[in-house]
Amino acid sequence: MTYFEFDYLVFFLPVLLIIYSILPKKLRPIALLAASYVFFCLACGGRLIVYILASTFTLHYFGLWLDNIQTAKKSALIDIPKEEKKLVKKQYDRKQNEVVVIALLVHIGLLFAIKYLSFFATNLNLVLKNFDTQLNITSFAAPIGISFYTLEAVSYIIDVRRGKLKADRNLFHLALHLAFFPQIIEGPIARYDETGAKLFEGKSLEYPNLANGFIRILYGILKKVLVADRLNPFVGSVFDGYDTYDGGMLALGVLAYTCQLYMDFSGTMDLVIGSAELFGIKLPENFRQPFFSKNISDFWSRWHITLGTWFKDYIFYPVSLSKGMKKFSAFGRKRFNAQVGALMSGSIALFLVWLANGLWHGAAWTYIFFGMYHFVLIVLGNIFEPSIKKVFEKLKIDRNGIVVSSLRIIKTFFFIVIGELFFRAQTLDSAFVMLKGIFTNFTLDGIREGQIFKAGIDFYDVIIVLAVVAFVFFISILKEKNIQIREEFGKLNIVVRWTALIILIVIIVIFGAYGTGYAVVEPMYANF
Amino acid sequence: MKRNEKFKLIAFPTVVLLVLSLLSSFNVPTENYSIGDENLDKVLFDLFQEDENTIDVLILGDSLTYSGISPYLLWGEYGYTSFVCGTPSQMINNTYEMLEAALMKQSPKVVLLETNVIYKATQQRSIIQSLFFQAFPILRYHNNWKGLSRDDEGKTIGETRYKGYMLRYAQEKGDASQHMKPTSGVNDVAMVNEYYFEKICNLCEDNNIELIIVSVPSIRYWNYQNHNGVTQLAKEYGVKYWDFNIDEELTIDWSKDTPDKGGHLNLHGAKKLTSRIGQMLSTDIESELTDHRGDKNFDVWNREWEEFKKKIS
Repeated sequence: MTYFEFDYLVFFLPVLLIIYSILPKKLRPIALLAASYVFFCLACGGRLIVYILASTFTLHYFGLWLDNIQTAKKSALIDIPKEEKKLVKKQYDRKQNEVVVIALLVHIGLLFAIKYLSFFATNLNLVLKNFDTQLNITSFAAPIGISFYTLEAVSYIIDVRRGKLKADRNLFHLALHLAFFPQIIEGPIARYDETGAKLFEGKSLEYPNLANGFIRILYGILKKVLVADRLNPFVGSVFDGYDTYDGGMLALGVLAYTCQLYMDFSGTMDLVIGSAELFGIKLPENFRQPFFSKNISDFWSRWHITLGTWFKDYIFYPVSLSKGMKKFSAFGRKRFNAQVGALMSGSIALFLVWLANGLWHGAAWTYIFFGMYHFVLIVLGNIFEPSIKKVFEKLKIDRNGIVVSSLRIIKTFFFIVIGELFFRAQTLDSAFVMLKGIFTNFTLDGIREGQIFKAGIDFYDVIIVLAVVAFVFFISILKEKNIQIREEFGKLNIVVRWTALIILIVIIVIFGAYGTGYAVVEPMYANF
Repeated sequence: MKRNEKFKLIAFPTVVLLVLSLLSSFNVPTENYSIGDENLDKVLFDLFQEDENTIDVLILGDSLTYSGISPYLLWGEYGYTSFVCGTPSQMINNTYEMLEAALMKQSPKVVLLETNVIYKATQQRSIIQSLFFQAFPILRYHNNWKGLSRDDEGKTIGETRYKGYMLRYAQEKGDASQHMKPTSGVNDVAMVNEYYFEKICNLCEDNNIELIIVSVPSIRYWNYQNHNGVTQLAKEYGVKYWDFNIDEELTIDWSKDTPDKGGHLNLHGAKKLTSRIGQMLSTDIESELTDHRGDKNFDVWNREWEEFKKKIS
């Protein structure tokens, strides 16, 4: 069972809401936890639950271990001479760091074994072939959401180490934080201090939350079921048969994939955030109108936001603010200038972030290349930003004016779409062949001949996609202007509101890409 | 929560369900019947071209049916009228819908259900979804507004079909050395698949149709564990089961009778299987099928059979 299935929407959620509403406050979080484990088992099979249970138990006890060391440290620092304090602190800090290292080895090690071992072994075997040796590695079935809840686990243990939060002595709190069913499959990647603690409040159901959550869920279904799933066969045809299409068709295919990916992932986020909202739980946002970005850095502050902030908080800042990097940066400032100094350390940290980003998405060279592609774009942007700024100032052109802003958005969109080509392509080779085809064999002949209508999509499908994309674009403009759409909607007369919602439901029912004639398309980020 | 808020929480879903019911009432299948899938709709379209209530044996299933069973060969040898409603990778929820649609225009005495659909994962992922789809047919037929292609080019699936059968001449040897080695292992049938199988049984019973489940010979797509699972199912529902993979009266030569290393049967294989099916239909069933070859009302079948014979000679 996943989020867009009938079982989830018309059975699991409504039944859980009913049970939740009749339970006393103390038992409501238990109901959420039980429902989360049931959901997990239905999503990926009962046996794989052992992974998340093991992660929960070990994380809990690592947290308590750290807490005990921190408590002991506080006690040890009382009433000791000042000159000894530094040494004692160092000793306890080293102990804590050892615990964190073990915890990271366990959690990231498990993720590595399940997700990456085969990939590295395969590539290592290419080298070992020259020595007549091969590694035989067993592949493991990956439990759903392991990439997501592992990051949540890592952030929890590091935040406890940093003193940002106190280790929670209640195992069930942590269990619910890691397994909470709306976010287990595709995130958003929540922080314990923001979301985890609130999950156990057992808030009563409130009408505004139910209404707003429902609207958000509907919006997510509109995006995924009318657009993303509808584009899936066409995208598949182009990427699988790329050598049979001209540049125009390839470009259209890549554009369609970018649209599919956004509608699928952001649609899923609307549904999961809406699902949590039904219970009065606020999950962090993962998208903020990403295609309005004016540069790549801006894009990554608007796309998969919680992953970006996770990398920023747990890789970029620790690396760039480390003693070694500070020294390296100082060397750069001294040798060249302040900008170069900052760029040098920042770029190393960025390299690690984008390598991790690529690998996080999957064990394949296409994902690593995707990460490096964005790394290069961001670094180049950082390098040329001061010069470009000066040019605009000298020419007295307002960079935030509508014309320049539009051009910047289009330019950024172009680079994003190229990146998505690599993200989706089956192999690096095929990606480069497609890219070459787009630029050296660009023609509209294939589109004019109607090849698009022989590639899994018909005229009506195109109209529906364009109509929904236009609607989503309109909503995005309102959100970009910080208009609180659901609040404004809530002010309308009830007859108008209900009519609008029912029309939306009827549109989804009639024009949705589900049922006979359509393949079931799992949420795309569930594979990561 | 306030009382009027509680009222709204009940009223809104009620209104939505009423609207779905209203939409469903406008969505009754008509002449332009559509299941919503191009392949399924085209096979149905072809079936609807047959004179009403002339088909005695309806064959349902996936590509194994339209590769392995030829209605013209069955006619030629036994005079039984039949039609293959087979589509690639057919799912059992669609099989049920095909049968339901077919019964609008035909009254077969026998339905042969190929067993691959019993194990194929369906789009309707659960019984809950299936119940919802049945309660609100608009969910099943929501694509009907797209319409069915009625021009000549749209009539067939892509290859020429002969009452649903697809001619395959190619030969590619298959290795049957491990095929159907007896085992006690049983592959379970998914709940939602069994749910639809039960619906098919009930639909046949309601329409006085004898349902027989059959396994077309296939090295690639059939095995003994499936056989055991279907045997149990057939026993539970009181239907006959003919597994032609282990039929001693049928000898498939896997070096000549398959176009794809044992996945399907070619014309050679189809001749043998169809002949065997005809034999069993004439002796092993409760219904009595009529040999229509002398009936003037079925002259078109005789003519088309002569054309088919020339084609395959």
